[in-house]
Amino acid sequence: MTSQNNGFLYVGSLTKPYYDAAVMSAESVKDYWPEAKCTLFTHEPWVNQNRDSKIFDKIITNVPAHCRAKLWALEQTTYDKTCYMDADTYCEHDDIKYIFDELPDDYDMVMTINRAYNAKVVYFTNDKELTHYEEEDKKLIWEGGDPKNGKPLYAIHSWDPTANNGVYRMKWHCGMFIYNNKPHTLEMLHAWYENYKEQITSKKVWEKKFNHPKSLWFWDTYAFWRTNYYKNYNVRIKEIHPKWNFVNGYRDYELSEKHQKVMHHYTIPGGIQDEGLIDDPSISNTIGNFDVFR
Amino acid sequence: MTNVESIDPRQHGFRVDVSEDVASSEAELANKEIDKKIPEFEEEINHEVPHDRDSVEKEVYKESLSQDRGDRLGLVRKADIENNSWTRDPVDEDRREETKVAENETKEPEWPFGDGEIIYAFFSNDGRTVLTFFLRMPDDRVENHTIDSAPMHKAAWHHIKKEVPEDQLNRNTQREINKIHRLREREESEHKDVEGKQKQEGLFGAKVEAFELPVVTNSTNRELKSAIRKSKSTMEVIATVGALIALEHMNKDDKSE
Repeated sequence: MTSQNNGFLYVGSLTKPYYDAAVMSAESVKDYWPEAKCTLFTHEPWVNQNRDSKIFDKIITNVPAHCRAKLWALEQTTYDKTCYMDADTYCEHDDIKYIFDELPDDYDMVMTINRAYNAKVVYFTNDKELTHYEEEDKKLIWEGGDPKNGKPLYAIHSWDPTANNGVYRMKWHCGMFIYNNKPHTLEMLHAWYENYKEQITSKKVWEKKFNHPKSLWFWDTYAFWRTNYYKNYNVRIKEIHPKWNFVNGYRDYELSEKHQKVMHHYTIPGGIQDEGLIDDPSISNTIGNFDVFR
Repeated sequence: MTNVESIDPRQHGFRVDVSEDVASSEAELANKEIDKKIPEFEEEINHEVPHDRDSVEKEVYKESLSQDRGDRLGLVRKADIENNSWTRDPVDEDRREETKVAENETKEPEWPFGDGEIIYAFFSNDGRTVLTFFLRMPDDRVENHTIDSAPMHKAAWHHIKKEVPEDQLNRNTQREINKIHRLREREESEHKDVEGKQKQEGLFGAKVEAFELPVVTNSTNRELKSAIRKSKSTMEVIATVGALIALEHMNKDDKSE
């Protein structure tokens, strides 16, 4: 357990269910680790001061009314080590109190890896999303189409020797990660935010600006890949066990007696998200607007 | 049913002879008297033969068994096959009604679709007694119609079956059946998805509501709070919240004692 200035960062923006979920998640963390520090970024009208002040050390309002407001919030952290946690999660294990030990001093970030069997898209080319189990696509991803023995043909960075193959991998899951507050880390996080902003507002001119499938325009995972593919921010990222971010659909064999699920990651039903949209005349879609602060 | 009133014949002027020698009523005696007055009958009638009911029935029975069933009354007239309506006014074979019917059956019915062209047809019921077909009209409109095998649709039925061979009709029908199955499966799957989403939405809402209750938020019972978060159904949420409330009450009671 660490007693340093480390804490959890939650964001509940644009639609109220994310605020509700963030409160429930932080409360679950506090159930297992009452000393945990939590910060919430949300819209003022939703805050239940009486209840929320018992859960969060800081509640920051006047935040962008956007479904990816987290990208704006990440660099606002006041912690040395910050654990960004998607709102739609909950804690179910005492080991949560060791979570910040996962980020060693010689790394800048720790993340879990996208499971191809459970993710909408992990591998893609300039033209299309790939399906990791399709024979044709397997040959593009691994030498001989063999995921076990074949060498990877995909690239994560533009300086990878495989970069000319035209196959790419969005390796990191962006729903939970721990990062330090070193300038180069915060610079990369800021670039991620800027890249996403550019991406989400370029749907109509996608082909002119981007070389990859248009279907990726919504994903912050794609913006994270792009941010770290084209420029080396020298941010060292380490993989951690999926028990810290166990997404609905992950297979039980990923867990063991030694590695029990700590954080469960579900999905807030779409219908509720639409219903709980913040009432603001400046917002005319379900994605929101980074320039509208509420 | 007619209600027959029984009457006493005596009160209506009839004489009733009840002695055993008399065979029948006064009317029968009167008939005998009349028969005697007709000479031809007088010779034939054997008045000695008893005319009682049993004897007469026996005679009728014996006669019915007899081989001699000739027309003794001369009532049967022999047909005059040389002089009848057919021989007097013969009809040509070609003009006969039955010939016409037979001819109509073999003659192809007229094309009933005007300028329409049959482009697709299939059976639209299990009994294959209903056909759905599509006609392309001269202005390229496509009309669809459904008919059964009733006589009024005989011409349409005939021409569809002529234009669309049986095996093609069967293939089309199978294609339509497959289409129905696919649509049904898709509908069922969509229905399930909608139901699942609604269930998930309800479940999420129930959890939010549960954690808005002070008894839940302020509870230190980590296991039950965790159970609420992990609940897979709204009922599970409600039941666990109930358990939490009950425990809180029990704890209060223990403290007050």
